[in-house]
Amino acid sequence: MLGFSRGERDILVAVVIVKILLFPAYRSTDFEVHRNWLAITSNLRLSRWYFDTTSEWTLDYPPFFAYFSYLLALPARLILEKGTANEILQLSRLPVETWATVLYMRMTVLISELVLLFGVLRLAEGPGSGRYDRIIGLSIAMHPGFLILDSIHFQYNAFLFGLMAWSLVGAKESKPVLCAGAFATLLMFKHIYVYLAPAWFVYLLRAYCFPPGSSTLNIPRLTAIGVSTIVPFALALGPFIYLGQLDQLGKRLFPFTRGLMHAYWAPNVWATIALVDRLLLKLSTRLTFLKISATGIASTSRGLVGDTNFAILPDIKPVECFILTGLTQVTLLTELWQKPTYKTFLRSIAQCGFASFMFGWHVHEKAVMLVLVPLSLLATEDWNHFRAWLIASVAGIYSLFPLLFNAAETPVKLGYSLIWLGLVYVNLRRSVTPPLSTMTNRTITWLETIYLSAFPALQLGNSLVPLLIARDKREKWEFLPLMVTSVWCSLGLMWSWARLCWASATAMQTSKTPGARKRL
Amino acid sequence: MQGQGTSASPTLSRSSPGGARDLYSHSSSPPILAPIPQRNPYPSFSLNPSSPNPTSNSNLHLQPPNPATTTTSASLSSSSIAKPRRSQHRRIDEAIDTPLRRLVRYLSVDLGAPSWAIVVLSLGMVGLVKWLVGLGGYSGQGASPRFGDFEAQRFWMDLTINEPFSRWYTVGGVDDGDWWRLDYPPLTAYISWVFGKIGHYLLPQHFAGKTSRGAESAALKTYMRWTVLALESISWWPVVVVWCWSGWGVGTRSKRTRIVTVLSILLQPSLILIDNGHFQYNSFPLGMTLLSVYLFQQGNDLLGAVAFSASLLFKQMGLYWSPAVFGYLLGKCIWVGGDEGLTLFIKIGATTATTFLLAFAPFLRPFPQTLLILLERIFPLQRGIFEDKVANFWCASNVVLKWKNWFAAGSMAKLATLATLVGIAPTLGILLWTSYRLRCRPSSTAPTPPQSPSMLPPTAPLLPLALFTSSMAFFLFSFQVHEKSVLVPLLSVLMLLGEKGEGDGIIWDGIVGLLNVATFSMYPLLKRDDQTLQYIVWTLGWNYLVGYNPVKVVDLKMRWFGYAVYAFIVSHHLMEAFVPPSSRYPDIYPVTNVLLSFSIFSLAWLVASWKLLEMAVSMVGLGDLGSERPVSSSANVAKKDK
Repeated sequence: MLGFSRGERDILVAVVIVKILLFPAYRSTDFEVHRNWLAITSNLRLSRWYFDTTSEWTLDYPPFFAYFSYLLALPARLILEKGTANEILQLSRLPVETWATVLYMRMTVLISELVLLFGVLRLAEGPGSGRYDRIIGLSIAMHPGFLILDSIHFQYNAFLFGLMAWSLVGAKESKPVLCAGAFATLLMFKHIYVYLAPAWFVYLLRAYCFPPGSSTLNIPRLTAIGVSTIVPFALALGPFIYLGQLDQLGKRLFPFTRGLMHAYWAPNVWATIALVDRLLLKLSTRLTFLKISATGIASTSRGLVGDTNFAILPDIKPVECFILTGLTQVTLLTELWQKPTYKTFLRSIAQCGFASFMFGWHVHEKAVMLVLVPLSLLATEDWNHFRAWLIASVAGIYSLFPLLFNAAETPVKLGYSLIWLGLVYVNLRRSVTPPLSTMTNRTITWLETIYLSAFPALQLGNSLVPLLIARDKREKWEFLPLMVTSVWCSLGLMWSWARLCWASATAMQTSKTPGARKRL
Repeated sequence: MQGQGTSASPTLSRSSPGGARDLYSHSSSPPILAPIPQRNPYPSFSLNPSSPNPTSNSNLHLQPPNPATTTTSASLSSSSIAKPRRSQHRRIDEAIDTPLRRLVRYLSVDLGAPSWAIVVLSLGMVGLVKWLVGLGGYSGQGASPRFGDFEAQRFWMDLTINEPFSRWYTVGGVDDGDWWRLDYPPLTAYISWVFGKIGHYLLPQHFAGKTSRGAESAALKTYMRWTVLALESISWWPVVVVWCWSGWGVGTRSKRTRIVTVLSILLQPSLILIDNGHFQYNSFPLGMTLLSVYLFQQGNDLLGAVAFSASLLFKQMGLYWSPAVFGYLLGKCIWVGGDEGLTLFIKIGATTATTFLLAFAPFLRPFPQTLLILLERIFPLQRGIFEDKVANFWCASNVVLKWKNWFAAGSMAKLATLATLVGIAPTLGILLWTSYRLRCRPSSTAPTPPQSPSMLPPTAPLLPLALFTSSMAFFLFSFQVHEKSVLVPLLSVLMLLGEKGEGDGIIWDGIVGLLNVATFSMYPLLKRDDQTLQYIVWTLGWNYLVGYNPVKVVDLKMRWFGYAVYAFIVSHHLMEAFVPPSSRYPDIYPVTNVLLSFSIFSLAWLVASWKLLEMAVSMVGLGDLGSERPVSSSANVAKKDK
């Protein structure tokens, strides 16, 4: 079966069993969101899709996802009994959560994940693939992040990253049309991937149309790539342009009413700054020279969706976030510009992911997958990449845990993540050799070990503190574990990013001065 | 060897060369049917210095040679030394290489993990699986007004922490809406008290007396699921580990085999679906009974009696095992004989009586009344012969013979008791007869050591089978049997479950098949509890993990019999899913389930009884030779070695 060894087959079976047994588990409102999209697309005409407001969970993904929802609704009509199908696909203001609906929706997620599985397996094949690529591929397909986000919380991230994997297959096998086409398709499924688009743009331009050292554009290639990009865009947006609904689409896709930070702080730079702000506020009774903003006091502590204002530090505006993200990305993409290889491309994707995750406006903690997936693909490059992968994976996966706030899923998310991490770590660790045992290197490794070993303590605290705090005070301290988690994870992710930047810098230096030794 | 890559290379340094050479160099030796060569093929192959002719070694495998692999090996055998070994690898792999074994091998060989770490990790995975099953529905979820077993257990926790001892068994009844009164023996009540106290600290609103009745919340469900895991992690998991390590279980030869056996037993779906799905604490009595068997086989009869009493004091269904335990202990007293035997008898009796007295102590006053109410609750003779459909003699024969119309509940109880006595008589008889025939004979001329209470009686190896025949007789013939009670006889089946390829492959296939039918027999219950998904997924999953494949059952007759049974089960499920029962036979699906399960159970009971008799007769025959008594002396030697 697809060249799976017995051990791989065992793992696959085990993962599928776990995912099916998770069918009755907790699901977020995203479940109803996606179900409602199935209902909208299967019951209404295309022209009504982006206008329907029967449910509050309106369609706000690009058109390909709407088409995808339409496709997912088809089997229900074809296979199931009429009553059941109508029940699953009913347009309703209130959530539909019957067991048949749950079963059906969960199945669509499970089956759509095959796109990712086949994508990463293909990525691990062919020339230029090392023996570890297959392990990496399978580790991505079975990533705990996807288990948490898709199989429990409910989304289709694995499927979307599957499209990304196919785009990477195009890059790896020098098929620019596949690379560009798959990525454009992905953009038309979910526009959050636009954060990674600069990497694709630079790579496709420099690797195929305007390679380093040449003075002219390769026009035929540029045309091919351009067409393969435009065709998905046209297929997705065409009908809505024809209907004159582009502005409505825009309003749905880009709602600029949200705050700097999400309810639960994504572990990025802003989380750390918000913590500093909180600490300054505590100190402000003593440090009278600080100016306190009244809106800020109420805002940060509760962590409500909406505008987040700092109490002491200056507020951040969306424009500033975008400029910061953009500048960082442009700076980090110079490496790709100089050396447009596949590996550099992967690193640049991770860099773009990091930049947008760290500085973006209203970043969701789920966006950490934009970083973790490309980092996984680089994990066996050298020691530096491996440690960047390890720390980012631990911090990133842990930062997803608060999404599942019920105690019932805690053993599952912990157990699965630990088994996954242990298995992948043990297998990938062999691929890299530690650096020379210098004072600096040892100190860094030592600090990293301390950082990682704090996670069990953090988990213990998060589980036990709510039980030990008196009942009437629990409400007040509810935000504390989340804040600590978020800030601690953000430290790890920032350090991982620093390691990646170091890798980029080293690579650029090496390409300029051959023979320069890698450090770290 | 080369095919295994890195995974095989560590084994090179760990294997024993002598044994390997012996086994594989004598190609002219007669067919080796014993399973020893299959135990751990990797070291043997990687160290084998000569080039074995693969075709002549085909007798080493359980499976008939696969034509595909035979041709490969034949074509490769002349080309090099290493390649034939590889083909042998594959053929032996096919016979015994199961997913669980691969997992344990990976952990111990590839990662070099020590046994204790693998056991801890395995138990963690067992807990994870149980927790995942627990995400599904439970008994009486949302089923107002009476709810189900989940509410019963919660109510008992609530009752024991909020009422004094004296009222534990008197609360409830008509004036109280007959709300899930406590009808389990006192140990259940005590354990409920502990969990009630903790529950009250964590979720006071759910353990607050009358207002909490029928409480349902995600937090409560999580807490209750935790209590089941907590209790079984101290009373069932460690006992299984100890049992598999003790040398009495089937899988005893290598550490890896033992771990595989532990995993196979703990992951078996029947108990998981009932305890962690439906919601009960059956793992405790199972664990205590297994512990008592282990202690008996260690020669520690008094502690064993305490452990078995704990099982009885937790749930009255422990009685199903009691004829075997009684027969074994009394038999041992007879076997020891003389004053020593009598002393042992008194000691065991006193220990058991003390245990019971301690457990019942709080309910002795006012003297007879409380105790009588308690006993009446524990043994509800006024109820019917069966409630739901259960795969025993009464319910299965009810299709034709309308017992309930012919007899009143009281006389029905007597009839059932009589039938049960007849059913358990052979077990009891065999145990006592064997002990009597092999007892110490003072007139013996040879200088044999006299039996002493610290020795193992010859009936010790009979105990697992005797437990099965006795409890299955109870299940098939006794009064007021629940479909869940099949877990009682299943314990012995689990005790005999080894690893695939371990012991006699035919027995292993039969045992797994029986376990599958037992799981099937509980399906109507699981369906009511919204555990259908878990039932399907985990039954298939477990069969995959232990490497059971109905198509590859060793014995041809059993294979075809299995086809018939599985075809019945699959078509039963499919029919039920797509064809609604007619109004004339609304219970057609539960009844067909009962008929199949009953046939298989009674067949298993007959086969097991026959095996028991066979073993006993072979022993007595040997014992009659006079003073040698090979069975008892070999058992004693084994014990001294420890």
